[in-house]
Amino acid sequence: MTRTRGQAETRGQAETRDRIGIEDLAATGAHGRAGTRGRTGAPDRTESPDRSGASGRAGTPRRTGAPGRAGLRQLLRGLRARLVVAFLLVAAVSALTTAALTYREARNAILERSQDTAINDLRAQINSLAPDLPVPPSRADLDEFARQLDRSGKARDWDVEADYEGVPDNDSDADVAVPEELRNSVEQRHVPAFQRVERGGEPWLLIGMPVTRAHDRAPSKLSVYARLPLRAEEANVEELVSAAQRGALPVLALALIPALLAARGVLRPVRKLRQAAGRIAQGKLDTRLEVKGEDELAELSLTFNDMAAHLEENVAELRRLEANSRRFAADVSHELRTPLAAMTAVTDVLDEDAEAGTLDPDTASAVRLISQETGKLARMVEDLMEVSRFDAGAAALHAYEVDVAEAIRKTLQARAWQDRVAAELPPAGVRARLDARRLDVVVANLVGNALHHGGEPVTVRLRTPVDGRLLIEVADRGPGIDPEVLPHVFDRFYKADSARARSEGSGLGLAIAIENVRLHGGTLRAANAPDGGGAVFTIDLPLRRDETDEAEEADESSEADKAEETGKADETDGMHTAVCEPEAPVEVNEPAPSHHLNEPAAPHQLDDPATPHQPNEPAAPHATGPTSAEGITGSTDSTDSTDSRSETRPRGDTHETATPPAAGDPHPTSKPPATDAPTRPANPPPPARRSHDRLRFEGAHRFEGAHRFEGAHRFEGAHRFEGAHPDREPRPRPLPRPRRVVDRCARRLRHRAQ
Amino acid sequence: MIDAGEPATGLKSDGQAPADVQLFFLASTGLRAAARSAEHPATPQRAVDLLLAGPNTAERQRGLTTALPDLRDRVTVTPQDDSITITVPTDPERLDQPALSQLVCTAANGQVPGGRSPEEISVTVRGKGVEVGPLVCGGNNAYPYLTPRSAAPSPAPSAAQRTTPEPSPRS
Repeated sequence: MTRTRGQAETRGQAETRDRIGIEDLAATGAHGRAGTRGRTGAPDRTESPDRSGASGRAGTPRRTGAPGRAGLRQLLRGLRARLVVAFLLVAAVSALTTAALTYREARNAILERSQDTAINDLRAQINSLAPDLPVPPSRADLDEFARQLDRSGKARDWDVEADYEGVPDNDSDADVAVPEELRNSVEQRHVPAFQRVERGGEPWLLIGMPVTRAHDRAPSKLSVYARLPLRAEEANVEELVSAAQRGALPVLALALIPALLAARGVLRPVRKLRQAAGRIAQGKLDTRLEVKGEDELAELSLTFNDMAAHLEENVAELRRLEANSRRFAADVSHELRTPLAAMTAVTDVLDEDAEAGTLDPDTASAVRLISQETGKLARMVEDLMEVSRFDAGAAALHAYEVDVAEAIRKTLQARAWQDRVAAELPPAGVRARLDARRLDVVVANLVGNALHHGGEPVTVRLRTPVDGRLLIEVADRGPGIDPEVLPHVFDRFYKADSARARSEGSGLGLAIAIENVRLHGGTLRAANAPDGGGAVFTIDLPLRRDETDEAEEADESSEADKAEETGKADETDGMHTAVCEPEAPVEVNEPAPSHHLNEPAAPHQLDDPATPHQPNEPAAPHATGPTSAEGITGSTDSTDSTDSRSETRPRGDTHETATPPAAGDPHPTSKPPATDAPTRPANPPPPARRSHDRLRFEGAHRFEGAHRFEGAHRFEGAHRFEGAHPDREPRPRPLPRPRRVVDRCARRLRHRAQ
Repeated sequence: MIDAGEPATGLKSDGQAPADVQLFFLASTGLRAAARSAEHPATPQRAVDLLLAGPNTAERQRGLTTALPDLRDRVTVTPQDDSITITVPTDPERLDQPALSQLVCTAANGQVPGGRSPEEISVTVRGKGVEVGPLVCGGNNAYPYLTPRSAAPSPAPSAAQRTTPEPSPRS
């Protein structure tokens, strides 16, 4: 039974790996990091795309949805508005200044011109007429003189008054009404002068012209005054003003066009720059700007491109380093697992001896200690590998619809926590699309953490879904979590109590839990109950029921699910479970997982839907190999990963045990999924031969030997170390050292039994 | 109040004769005299030369024109005691009445030796073998009477001229 399931498990994992690889590629491609990935030189170790993608998305500008008044305000504050306003201001100021200057000059020019003309004309007329005037003139002579002048100025339409000292004025003189000042200038200073006056709301020009005697140019008693309307000139000036006024608005409107053009010329590069910066923020580091021209904006674009190039280089370098370190962690844990498997096997054998009392008490306690620590080490390595898979983005979600309450109940039952944990589950079935194995891990880790670090009673509460969110709360009644610690509870290897140097857990339990929740697209929150009643962990999952994109996957896995749900034991529990234990009861193999800090409880009955094996993608082995999900099951399905690794590595001692016969063999494609999987649960494995034929892992051989000596249960334990490869032909192998140990161990046991 | 350059000039001193030169131009109302200043009273030749040069700017502004064709420098004025002979390069009969009046009156108002008044000076216009006159300028406020000397040998032709405002027949 177990053996077949194990095989199914490993196949499922292999298939999972393939799909991870594809998804990973798609995800990274979607994030536009394909180029950078290629530079890292580690195409098989990709970043967790959701994480980097999420961080990238967090940086995207959220300014798109700002309509209405805020948008208007921003528009007014924007560069375009400022440029336009500045342009208009400049245009208005220059137009006004020009108009004002032009107005002044034109007004002066017009007035002066008419004044000068009038004065010159008057002078010329007097010069022409004065010789005719008798001296001294009579009033009639003066009137005739003035009349002649009047007539001569017909074109100018002036009124002339001629005064001769000693000759009395007549009535007509009142017309001109010469101001005293002008009269003084003319009659006392004998200097011609003019003056602009306002009479009756109309402008007038007054000219006073003294007349000198012809023969000696001496001042005479004759002086002539003329009054000239400036209506026409004023009208011309007003025409100028109104023309300027009429021209100002069109000029401003015209200025709008170059303003908008200039703003566009400036803003387009700025907008491109902003978009490019946004793309950079989204992680598209290969974004470059087109550099046009040689202005400041072009220089800015050049600098931007330099920045982006450096950023790209640095990020690629960082990614490479990080990938290296992650790979290192994965490799280390993977390499540790192989010897650990052997150690576990041996300690199990020794444990039996200790239990049987065949060892002396000191040795027995030492053996128990070793066994216990070995188990812990194995769990930790498993956790590390699980985390590595998350880091590598190689964790796949096998969601299918489950009854959540039932799943939680099974989780508790599987770990014998029903009595210690109060489950508040709604009676009506809450169904959701979930990866049941991962949910089990999450709940078990949280409950285990609560039992160990919090205080009983621990409550698991499944809320009826609201707004498409599925809420599961795990609460304890302990002292709660220190607020300073609260942000770090999900960190890896974070110990809440630093004084406790040695933890019983791996320190990865909560980290694995939150990664699993994230994989579902949900969140995991840690908080303290408001009444001070301990810590509350809340799993918040989107309630997905109608998944179309995963339908295929679900179909694939459903068959296996049905097969597996019948009571699959602790396949995934790891190698430390029951290598040498007889028949490994489900609930017994983990004595108290809940007492470990952050220890990921092994998933139990709701095991990974062991999807039938799919042929590997030809391109996939490297992408999935070292980071593959083989560790999920805890079985030693490490064949391909070991293969790929051994290509580049000298074979050490450990590899003698774990080295597959042929390095770097790609997975042959074979075995359509449907043929094998459904039949597996129904058909208990035919005697070891069939599955052993597929084994690539050395452990299988040694447990083959163990099986010969120990019996079937031993063999079942051995099965967990079997490789995943169904199609590998068995080959004769040199017996590695651990096998000799086990053989010796087994031989000794047999001897003792006799 | 702004000063405006030079004052006008041309006024005679007290008791001095009104004008140095009297040129007769045509106004809308008839023949009209325009005075020009000069250092000394001009001879008839000078006066006629000025007349033939046409009205100046100020006179044109007052509306004065000339009816004479352009005869500049081609007219000779020969004054005697009481008579003046004007020789023109064209047939004087083809000059119209206003032009003849301008010539006759301007020449007669010139400084003629003998000190006679302009009304007493007979003017003969001659040219191309044709002779018009003698004529007498009859004043400057209207078309002057131009009477042949033979027809009015008496020293009082002005009264007769005023009573008969028709242009006199030419002999």
